Amino acid sequence: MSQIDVHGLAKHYRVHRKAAGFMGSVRSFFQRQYQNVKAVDDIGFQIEEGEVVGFLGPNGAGKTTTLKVLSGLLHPTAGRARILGFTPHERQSSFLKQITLVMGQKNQLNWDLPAMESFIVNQAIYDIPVDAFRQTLAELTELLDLDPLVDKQVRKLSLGERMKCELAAALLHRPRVLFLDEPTIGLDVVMQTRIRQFVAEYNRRYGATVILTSHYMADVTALCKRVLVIDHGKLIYDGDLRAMIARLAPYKVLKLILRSPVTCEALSPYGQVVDCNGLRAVIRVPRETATRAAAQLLGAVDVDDVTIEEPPVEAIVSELFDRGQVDDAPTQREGAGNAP
Amino acid sequence: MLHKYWVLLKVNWSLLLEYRAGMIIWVLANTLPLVMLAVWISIADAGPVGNYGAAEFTAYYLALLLVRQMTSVWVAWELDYDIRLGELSPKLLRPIDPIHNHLALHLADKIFRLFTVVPLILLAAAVVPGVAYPTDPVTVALFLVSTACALAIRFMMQYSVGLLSFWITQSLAINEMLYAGMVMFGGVIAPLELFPPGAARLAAVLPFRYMLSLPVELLLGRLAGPERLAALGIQILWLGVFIAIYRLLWRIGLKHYSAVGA
Repeated sequence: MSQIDVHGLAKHYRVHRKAAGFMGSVRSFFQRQYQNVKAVDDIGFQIEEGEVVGFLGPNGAGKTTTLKVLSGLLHPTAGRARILGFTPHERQSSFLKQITLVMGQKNQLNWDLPAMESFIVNQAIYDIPVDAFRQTLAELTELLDLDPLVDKQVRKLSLGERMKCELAAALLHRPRVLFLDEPTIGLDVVMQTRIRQFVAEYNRRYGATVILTSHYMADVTALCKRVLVIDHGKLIYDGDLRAMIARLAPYKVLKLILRSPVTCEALSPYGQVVDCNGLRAVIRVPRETATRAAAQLLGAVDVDDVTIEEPPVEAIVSELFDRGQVDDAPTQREGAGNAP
Repeated sequence: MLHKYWVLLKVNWSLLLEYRAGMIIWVLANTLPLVMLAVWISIADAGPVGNYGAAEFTAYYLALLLVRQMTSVWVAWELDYDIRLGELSPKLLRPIDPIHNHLALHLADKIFRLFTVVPLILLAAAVVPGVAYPTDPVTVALFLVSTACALAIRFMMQYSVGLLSFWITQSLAINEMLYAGMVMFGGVIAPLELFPPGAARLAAVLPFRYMLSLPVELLLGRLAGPERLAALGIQILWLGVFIAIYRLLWRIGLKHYSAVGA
């Protein structure tokens, strides 16, 4: 059986609605109006040990709700989830000792004490043997460069420094399954890259399974071979990230820098001209003919520099959400995962 | 589990020392028994009230102050905060029930008070003329057991009230109501002995006496032998009731919390 096995999972909320203003309050006091919100609506997938899977979707798509169901914080309304053979919402301690959930916007560290104090508490409550604790802490300290941070009060750390300590606290018990909900939110680019490299290294070193949500596409493209795309609570794509890009964006982008000016019309036979101002041009060309087009252009016009790029993933994904589906893509798993 | 408690106790101790200024203010703010003492002494000026003259009132209220310091509980506020702001979620993901950390914090606080305010109260009891407490081991032991039970009852009751935040946003108002009940029927306003018979009988069955007044009555030797055990029995009964309520609320509350969103 897969390490994570989800079937027909649904989570519906009953949300209390109230009209604005005083009369709205009065009316709602006597007669509450409820609305059923389908945060997660019949989704299913399997994830194997050691995979790194990206969870994509716009705000309110149901990503965090799904992670909360998988980590055991929420009871599903319907369907079932099995993780490491456990039913998450039973919250058995042998289950909790093998998973972790890092929420970029919530802390588990004690704000008023140095992070080290929280680490020591975790050692005790997760029953981590002293030797294993020392070794893991040494490795995390090296990977995350924690040395100068752990003895400072958490509230005096910067956001990025705090996130590093949060990650360390969440990983001291060496969980086999990591749920990362926006782990890089609010961090600068350098720190985002550090966290990303760390997650990749942790996955490589310990073979841990990682499910990650992020608003930063770069997190997903750097870490995940496979993505699950969720929108309005429904799974609209499950499969290889590159395959999705290839299907949604069957073109590459040629960027040209020219030595002498050329008209847009002169470039149009090679592909769809997106931008052209004489000395610079951006052309979309079909994937299969991208290299040939580039070679022809080198011969035909006075080119100083040419690059062939993948289209930006942000654009593809937002296009996907607008359309609400991937054409002729089954929502089943396709493309192999990146299990070692 | 003992090792876990030891670690939780240590970390909460460092937390208390981190807030030491605030702690001292909280400890000193606990002065209602002293206010009532002043009131009753001025009344007793005109002649004793029941069995109570100025010295008896002083002995009573100093003991009450001591018990209050050793049984102070604020866990309802912590739970209200955790539940309403979703801070409970990360705590639920740890393989230990959150109640243990709350309890460890309260125990660390009691150790803090034992070394700061308790000596002050004992000193006051020693220097005020006419105030003397029995020192026979049975009385002292009963007093200590009963004080520990009083702390446990207050903790479990407030924990249960705090858990109501799963359903309502005003659980702290209920907590205030229960506090008022304790001031009234727990022996703060007046020693329960001085209540009219009907009110005294009511106080004997309500939980409030067992959260504050009973240890004081035991220390002052106001109860006859068999009465003492009967009262302790009722105290333990109330503790059992609140533990049962807590367990029930925790079980169904958690289901509710995880059904509506965390």
